[in-house]
Amino acid sequence: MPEMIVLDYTGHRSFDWSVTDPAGVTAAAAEFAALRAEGRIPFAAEPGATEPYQLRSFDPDLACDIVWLRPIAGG
Amino acid sequence: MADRPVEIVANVVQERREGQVLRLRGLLDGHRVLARSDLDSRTDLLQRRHGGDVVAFRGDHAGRRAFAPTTTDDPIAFRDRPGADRRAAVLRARALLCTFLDCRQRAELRASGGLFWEHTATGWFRLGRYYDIRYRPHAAPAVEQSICVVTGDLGLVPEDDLWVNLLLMLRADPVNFRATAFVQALDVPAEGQYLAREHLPADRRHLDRLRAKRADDWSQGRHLDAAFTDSTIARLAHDAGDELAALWHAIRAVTVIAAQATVYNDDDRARWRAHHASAYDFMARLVAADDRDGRAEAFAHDAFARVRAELLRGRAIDRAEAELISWLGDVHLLERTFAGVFR
Repeated sequence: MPEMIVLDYTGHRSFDWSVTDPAGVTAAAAEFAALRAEGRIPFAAEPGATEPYQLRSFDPDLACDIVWLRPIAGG
Repeated sequence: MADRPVEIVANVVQERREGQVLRLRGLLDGHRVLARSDLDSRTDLLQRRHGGDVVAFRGDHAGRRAFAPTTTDDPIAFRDRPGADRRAAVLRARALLCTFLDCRQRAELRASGGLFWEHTATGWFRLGRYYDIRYRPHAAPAVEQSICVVTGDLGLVPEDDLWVNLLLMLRADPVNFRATAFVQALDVPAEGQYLAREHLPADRRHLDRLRAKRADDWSQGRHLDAAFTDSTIARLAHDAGDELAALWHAIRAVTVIAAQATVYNDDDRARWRAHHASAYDFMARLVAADDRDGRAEAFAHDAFARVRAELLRGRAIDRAEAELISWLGDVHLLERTFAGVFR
């Protein structure tokens, strides 16, 4: 079951959804939109697997996790 | 206000030093912001980026840069949160980070207290110290660069969350990661295993020594060093048939550094050139060889001997060559000069 992982002051928070649960998918899509509105960037990333890639939209059938990242800048 | 410089002009209400970082709370366009500044910054670069601004300070803070998250909130710094919450968050963040690391990286993380190397298509990156991320480009592995990349929530989340963020961004697009970075220095002393002095005078005998070193590193559990040595061997073995390949390789590798040297301002470039005055002389001799019909090969032998001697004395001649090539303005001049010498 895929998860959304949001980096925050607790270390991270996460929640999952199932394509068989329409309400869960709707909630996940809403969370996706809200996090994007915060300026976070969604990346599909599987621990120990291939390189992550940026997601353009929410895909409930996604097989791997979504990690929400902040934009980077020269420090 | 996309391209307008943004400045924190008033109400610096809190200042705290954390090692090389200055934390400031202030006003940004009427909104409260938390900003962090690298005290060693030498530039007054002002940029607006998605998610925040690179800002400059006036008055007592003039010349200091910071990345200020674009937010109207006054976020609580992670270190100001209750201790128990903080400890739990640190553990959760470390656990998450470890899920994205392989066995070798996790071992490095434990052994070094937070540092680990990531291999990408463009080179090796050492993460774990955000104001001193190290980069060894494949194209110029004789040097180690110190760069700085941060995220907008720096200081608001456990530090390992920052490394999750940067690690995934790096894996997704290493070229953009390097392009985004602020360059602290292009020629810092390497802190890890460093082969620059060894791999420049490369010949077959030297490759044998490198192979022995690789085997030793691997058997001793120094897997990163073994991997880096391995990539060096693979690269050098390609052209190790010519005893002059080392010099040729050095010249090719440093062209990349020459291009990156353009980030220096005039003062820094002048100091750098003064520091490497003898190397400028070396380049002048290389260029002069272009006019010596039939003597280029002999001169190349001499130049190679000089490089070897400089290296034995601990001089990093390759970095100086990079600047010299840039100064000459024609990277291909040397290629033409030694076209008949190097295979």
